Amino acid sequence: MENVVEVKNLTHYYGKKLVYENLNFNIKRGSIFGLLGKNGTGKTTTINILNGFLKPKAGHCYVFGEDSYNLSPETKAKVGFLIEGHIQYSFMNIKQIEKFYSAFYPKWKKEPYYELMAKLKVTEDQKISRMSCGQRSQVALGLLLAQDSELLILDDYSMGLDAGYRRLFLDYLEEYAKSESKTIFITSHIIQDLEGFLDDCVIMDYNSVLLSMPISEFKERFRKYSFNVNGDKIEMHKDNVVKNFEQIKNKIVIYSFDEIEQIKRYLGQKQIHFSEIKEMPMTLEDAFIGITGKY
Amino acid sequence: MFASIMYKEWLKIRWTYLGGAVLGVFIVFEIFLNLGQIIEFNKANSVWNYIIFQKYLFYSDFQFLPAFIGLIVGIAQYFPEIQDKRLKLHLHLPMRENNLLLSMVAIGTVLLIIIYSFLLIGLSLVTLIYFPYEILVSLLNTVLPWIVAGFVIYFIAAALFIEIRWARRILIGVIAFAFVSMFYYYMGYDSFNKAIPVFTIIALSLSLLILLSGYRFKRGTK
Repeated sequence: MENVVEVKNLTHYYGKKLVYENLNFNIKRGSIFGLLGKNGTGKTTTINILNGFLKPKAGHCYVFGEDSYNLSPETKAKVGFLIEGHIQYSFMNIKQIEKFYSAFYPKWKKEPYYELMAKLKVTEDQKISRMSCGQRSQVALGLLLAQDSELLILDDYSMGLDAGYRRLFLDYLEEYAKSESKTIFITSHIIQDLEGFLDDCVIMDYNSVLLSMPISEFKERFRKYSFNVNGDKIEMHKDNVVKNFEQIKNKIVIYSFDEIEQIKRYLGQKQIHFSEIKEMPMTLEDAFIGITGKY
Repeated sequence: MFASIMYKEWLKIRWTYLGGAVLGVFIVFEIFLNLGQIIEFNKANSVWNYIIFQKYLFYSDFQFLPAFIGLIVGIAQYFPEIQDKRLKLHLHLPMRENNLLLSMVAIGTVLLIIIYSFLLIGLSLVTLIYFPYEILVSLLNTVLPWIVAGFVIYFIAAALFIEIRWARRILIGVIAFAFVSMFYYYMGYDSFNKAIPVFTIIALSLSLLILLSGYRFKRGTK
């Protein structure tokens, strides 16, 4: 399947502070791709690079085969962009902003925009600056749908939204993506909403990438085990088997891609005397916290 | 597309722009009333003496008006663009980035040309009511540097707002202040007649400064 976005060995620093090194991923046409990570792990940095608002220190980023730092107007017309916080021209009202954008996009469809606006309890001459965060998010979403772009890049769509608006946002996006085979690149730090929505994901940590795989594979393979140890102090470290762990008194929880039998063998090799080992059920959010850690 | 950008820029600045126009009309009208009063309460030769020999600028209230209008139009147009880095929306529009930035400056410049022309026509009519043509020519030569200063301040405001680093903003501000001060250094008729072509060329070249700030915005925005 054709890649709409290709990120190759992307490395970026702010001054001397490393954001990440050698980030690699591809986004397939028609897929929904999530870039997940805690705040400050470089999600917005990646979005800025993808949209040509930041020159990376090293590596390349291609959007529809073009270097993202020098996108042609034709390619920009194929990309819808949601800025973190649903930023739009707040001095305009909903009619003015639709009129403004419609001139730039040849495939502009005003129907989905006004359909969404009809659901908001706002008048046509109400300025965006006087709307709630949730209403502003719907204006931004309506404009993206009207633009009818092939690729949607959404930077933290969930920022400032309550659960209802977050759900509404994703429901519309899902409908849009599935019915018209659009590609969506989404970043978020609220993971529970994205369960069942994403196809592929990259999970980022500070300075590094924790994993890159289809979300179904991550959910299927990533496991959480708990067991008890005797009163001795146990020394545990992250490695190829243990991706993360937590210890509260004599109860230990570990996160791993390995099966329970392999974990038992691993603990035996480490001479850890354990009891009552069991696999615990996890939601996507549990898995996310499991791999990224709570801090 | 350009018409649409014009629409957006107008929505941003229209009240500030119209406010500047009202202020300008008020000042020209005030100059008209003051001049009428001076001529009514003084003899003709006395007025002539003041204006020709003592270099009394009866339109001195106009001096900082173009600069003030250039500044407020610049603030109204570019401040909303840097709030929440909204300029990204503009630069994401399907046009070349340089064309997008220059379109903004071009629209602001044309609006300033309209407002300055309108005020100059008003000032010229006031002058021609009481004085011969030669005084009008002298007035235009004297007022021209102030008009150019208005454009300079507008161009600087554009570059300054879009610039991402405070150190550079301060540097641009200090250089601009020093440059603009030169336009107000001499008070008197025709003081800048020889310098004005050079100043105008420098001022026009400053309209491109936004490209440098835009390049830096694009290269380094967080």
